[in-house]
Amino acid sequence: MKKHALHKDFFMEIKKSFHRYASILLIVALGVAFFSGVRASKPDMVLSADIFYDESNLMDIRVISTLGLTDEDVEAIRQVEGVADVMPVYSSDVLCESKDNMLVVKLMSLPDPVNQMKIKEGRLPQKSGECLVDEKLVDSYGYRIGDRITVQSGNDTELSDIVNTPEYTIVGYGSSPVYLSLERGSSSIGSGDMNGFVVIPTEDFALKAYTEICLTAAGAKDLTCYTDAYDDFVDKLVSRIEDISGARCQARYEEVKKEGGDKIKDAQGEVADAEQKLADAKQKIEDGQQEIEDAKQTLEEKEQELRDAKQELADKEQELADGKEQLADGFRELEENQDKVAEGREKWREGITQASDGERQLEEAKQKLSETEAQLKAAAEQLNTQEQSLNAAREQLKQMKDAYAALKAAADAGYPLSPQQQAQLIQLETGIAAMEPELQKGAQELEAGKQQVEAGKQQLEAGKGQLAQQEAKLEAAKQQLTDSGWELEDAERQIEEAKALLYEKQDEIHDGDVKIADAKEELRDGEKKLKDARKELTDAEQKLADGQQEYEDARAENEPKIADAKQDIADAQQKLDDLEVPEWFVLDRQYLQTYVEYGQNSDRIGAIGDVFPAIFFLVAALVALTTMTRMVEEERTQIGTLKALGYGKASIAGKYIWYALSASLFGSLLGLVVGQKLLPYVIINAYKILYNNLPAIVTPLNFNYSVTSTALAVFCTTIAVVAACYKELLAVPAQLMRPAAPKAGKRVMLERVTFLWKHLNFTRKATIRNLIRYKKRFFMTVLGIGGCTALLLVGFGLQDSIMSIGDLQFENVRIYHASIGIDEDADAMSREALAGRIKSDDRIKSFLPAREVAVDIGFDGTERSGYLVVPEYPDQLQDYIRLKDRITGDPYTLTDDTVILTEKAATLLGISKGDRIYLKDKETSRVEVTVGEIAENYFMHYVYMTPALYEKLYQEKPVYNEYLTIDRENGEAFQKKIQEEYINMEACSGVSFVSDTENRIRNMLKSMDTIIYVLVISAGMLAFIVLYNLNNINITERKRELATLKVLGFFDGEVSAYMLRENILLTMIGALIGLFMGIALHRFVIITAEIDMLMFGRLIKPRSFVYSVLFTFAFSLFVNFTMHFKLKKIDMVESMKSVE
Amino acid sequence: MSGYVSLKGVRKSYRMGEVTIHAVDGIEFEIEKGEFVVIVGPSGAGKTTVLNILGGMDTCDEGEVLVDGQDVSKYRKRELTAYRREAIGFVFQFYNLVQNLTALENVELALQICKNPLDAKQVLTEVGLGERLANFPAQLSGGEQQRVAIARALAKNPKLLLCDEPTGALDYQTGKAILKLLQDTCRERGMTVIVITHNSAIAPMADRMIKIKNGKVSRITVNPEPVSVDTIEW
Repeated sequence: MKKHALHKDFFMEIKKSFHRYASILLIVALGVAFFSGVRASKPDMVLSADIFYDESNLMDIRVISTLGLTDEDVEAIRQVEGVADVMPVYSSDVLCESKDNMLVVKLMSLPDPVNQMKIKEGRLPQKSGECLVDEKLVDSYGYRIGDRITVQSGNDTELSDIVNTPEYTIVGYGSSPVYLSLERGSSSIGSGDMNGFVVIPTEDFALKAYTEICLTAAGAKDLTCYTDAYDDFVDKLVSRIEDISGARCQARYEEVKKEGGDKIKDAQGEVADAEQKLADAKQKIEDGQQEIEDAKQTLEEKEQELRDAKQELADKEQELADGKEQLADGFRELEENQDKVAEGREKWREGITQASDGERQLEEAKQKLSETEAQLKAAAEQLNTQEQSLNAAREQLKQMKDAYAALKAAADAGYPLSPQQQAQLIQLETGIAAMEPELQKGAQELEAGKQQVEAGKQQLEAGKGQLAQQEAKLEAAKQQLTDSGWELEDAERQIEEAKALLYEKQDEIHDGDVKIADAKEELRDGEKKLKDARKELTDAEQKLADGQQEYEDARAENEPKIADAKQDIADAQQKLDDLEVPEWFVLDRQYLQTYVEYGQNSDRIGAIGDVFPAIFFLVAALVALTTMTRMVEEERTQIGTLKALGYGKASIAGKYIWYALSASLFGSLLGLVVGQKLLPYVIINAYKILYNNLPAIVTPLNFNYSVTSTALAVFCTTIAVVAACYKELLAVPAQLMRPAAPKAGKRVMLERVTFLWKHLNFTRKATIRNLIRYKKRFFMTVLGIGGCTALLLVGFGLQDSIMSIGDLQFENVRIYHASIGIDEDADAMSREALAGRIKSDDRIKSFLPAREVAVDIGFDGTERSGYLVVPEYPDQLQDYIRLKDRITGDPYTLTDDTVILTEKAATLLGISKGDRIYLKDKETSRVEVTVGEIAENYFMHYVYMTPALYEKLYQEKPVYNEYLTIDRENGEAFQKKIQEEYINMEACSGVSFVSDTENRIRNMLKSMDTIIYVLVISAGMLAFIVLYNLNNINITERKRELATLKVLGFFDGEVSAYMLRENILLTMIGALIGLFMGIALHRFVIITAEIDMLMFGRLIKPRSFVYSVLFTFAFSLFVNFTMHFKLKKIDMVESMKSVE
Repeated sequence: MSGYVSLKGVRKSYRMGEVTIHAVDGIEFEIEKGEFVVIVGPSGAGKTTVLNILGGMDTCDEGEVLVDGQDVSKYRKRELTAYRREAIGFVFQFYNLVQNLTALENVELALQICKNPLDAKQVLTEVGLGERLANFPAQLSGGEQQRVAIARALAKNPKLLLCDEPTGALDYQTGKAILKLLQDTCRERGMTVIVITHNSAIAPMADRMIKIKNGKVSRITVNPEPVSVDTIEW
């Protein structure tokens, strides 16, 4: 109240010089924002992760044992003090075939309650055969819920020893807190890279012992991970668990020894069985051979039989043919006989007929005889009659001759005769003419008849004798006929009999025919059967030969196996004898890859936070200091007046102190809120691309950083004000009332170099002198601009370094275009085929076979995973992979004694030329080798060696598993075509193009872009604020000088140029210094921000230098451009005013 | 009407909040070439404004300002600057030297923008600073600094040499010496010199004395026989 006027003055001051107030406030805000924001990024990163870890109950400790773990171990650990949750885990790396490639997945039992899964979609597996897969498998390899996956063993362990069923249905997918990033670590199987995990129900595991035991520490959740407090807390529990490990290990040792003994016995039994089997097989084959011999014998016999039967059949056929011939003869004879008999019979019949004819004739003859007799009698009678008739006729004729002689005598007497007497006379004449011969003839005939009857009577008598004779003869013939009838009957019977016989024979022959046909049929059957039998025999022989071959093969295969098995048993026995008491490894989170990586990343951000904000802070403090100094200087007269009026020092200084304090306090508050909310968010968000599992980002205000940054900012500005006021407050009022002696001009060093100085015109001289005159401002500007250039250079340089990885790695180091993988298990033929295919493919310019396998490179107790590359022809390697010194570019050649190691691995492990490192590809196989050279390389770690050295170290020839190729074409279409063409070849395990890897790296490093943008934007803001502020001060401070110049007739442009020259020079100097600062800072940043498997390019491209400088100039020019208008506004009347 | 410098009805007013101040309210005077002119008047009478308008540092609202036949009042900004550069030499009360430049360099600063400047060294020698060419303003006394300022103005070989209270910050003797230098310059070089002062005692040394009061010319005295400044005491 007392100093009301003073208070008013204070507020008026702020109002009047609001630009100045705001600029202090803003630069403090910027400094604090950057300082606290970047610094808070690390704790915010840690905190965000810690919340996630706590929510998912991430294990604090993991126990693994060289001999596996048992339920007793689980129980023992549960009893250890300070252990919260204990979870035994089964896990095993297996292979899983997807659409295009063979994936390596980690099968693990359902984690609960430790390491709880975060389910993205679906659910946890509930029954056997279900699984939950890694989100990465869904995102990267296209698995979907409901898909079935089939796993197979990736080494010589039987799958059935790992799991009970090879097939699982995906019921969900999610993420595990164990994997914060997309990185899944390495595996000893398959390609060596783990592609993801698969969670299956515990009961599906067939493993005998737990793989590991995960546990959480009671009370560890209250502590923040990545902190010493947490580490110490967990360390204590680790040692408590280690304390009980001795006893448990002993117990386990005994158990395993017993189990091992049993197993060896079993194995021995198995070997014996195998041997027995082999022996049995041999016996069987021998039996088979015997059988075949027998069968052959039988077959031959049968063949003989068949041949005999054939002969017989032929004989029989002949016989039958003969029989047929005979039969035909018989039939012919029969026919003849039959004919004869028939003839005989005919004759007989004729005889009979003759006989009966004879009889009849005899009868007839008898008849005739009797008839003749009768006739004779009749004839005799007739003769009598005839004689009577003749006598009668003779009477008649005498009558007639009398009648006629009467008539004729009448007629001759001439008595006319009537006609009737005439006809009667003719008739009587003719009748007497005819009757006279006839009567003569009848009289002759009667005579002849009387003779004839007499002859007939004689003949009859002769006939009667003849007849008797004839009758006797007939009787004899009859007798003879009867006899020949009998004879014929006999002959006929004989013929019938012969016929019957013949038919019988015919039937017989027919039968014979049928029989022969049958026999033939039979014979054919027999032949066929025999043929079949022979074929069977051949088959059997073939089979036997096959069997034998098989046996031989089996023996060839099994004998060494058996020998191996025996060896194994011996080894196992040896091992068992050698079996050491197992060891427990009690591992804390430091052994979780992504946990550690994330921690390292947060450390890197922390490291960046230690450097960058300091620049900002320094600049902010300097800006505040100059501004306040200027302010105090400007108010010199007022200070003097107040002093003269009797105000105390504190009251006077108070105004300026409050001014600075309030500006810096408000600035700090603004800065810390904006900075701590915004920057960590942006930075962590950038890292979230890498650590995609991180669920949420928390950006609380960090008390520590808030307070320190605010305190620092306020302290710096206040001290600056106090220092500025102090000098003035010491002076007596009178002195203060007078204008301050203008700061004296001074000669600068350069003036001594007369020949140079002479050539400068005095505006330049003035410029140079001016710069040197205001040292504070000079340094501030140079620092500000330098900081700006440096930040820009770091930004662009980081981009160069990061983006150049691709270019350097794939255009300068690994210059081959593609690698065609060879399936190591493929047979020689398909390998040949692949080689031939590549050789003849004219799209492929050249190729080099090589072996590339994942190994751990170890030195001095630490290890890094990398790849061992063995080119078949080391002298050709330079065409595919250039091994050279990064700085000098001198090429290295592989020798047969040493390996060439890549640079980043050497740096990380502290290896230098000539050190002996070891390479480990399995837990057991470990070779030591000397590093010959350290070669440039930017991505991953590689060890290169010659085949000869490989053979020496591993005692085996390297199996080449890829062809590095240089192609004549490129482009997506070409790549796709090549891939499709080769992937179908049996020996080809895949084609991968370098450009794909290049793109992958590019994408991976995109997260860095954000940080680069933050840097570039901050640099711009820094440059702007600093330059703006400086110009402001410069102009106000030199208003009078500038006004004078105007009065002298300088055009506006010339006045601006007068100032600009200074600014440009300052910018030039600042930029130049900034470049050096930038180079150093860039180096620091890339080294701290590098990921282990990457080496960023160490060089900044010239382009980036140019850009950084150009950007700085652009900022500077922009500020100068705004200044030009400010200069224009300067009133020349100012020059008239007295110095205040 | 035929004067080398001629101001006619020149008015200039400033608005200060609600008040309008007529700093120059219809000034009219003429000056012949080669005259030594003293403008006197009380503080706030508008002397400096007149000088500023005449020197092309300010513009008038009304009226004509003819210098060597050219109407300066019609000039635009750029022409004014060129006018300042070629035609005007200015000497300030507080010298306004560039602290970072030596005496010689301060003179050269003005010369580098002129078309036909004099030799800087020679001019400095003429103002009596031949020995101090390489000294910085801070190393010179007030009088010496003012000499440098005068040399800077003269070396431009201007049409007019305008001096605003050139002795205001100097002690009596030094002031007198400076005035002598100015008078000599006028006489020897035929330079038209206009000096603003509140000290009317020096009026006798001028060819023409213009008294300004309340923005108006209150009296113009032409002195046919000006005396040397050495003879004047005040």
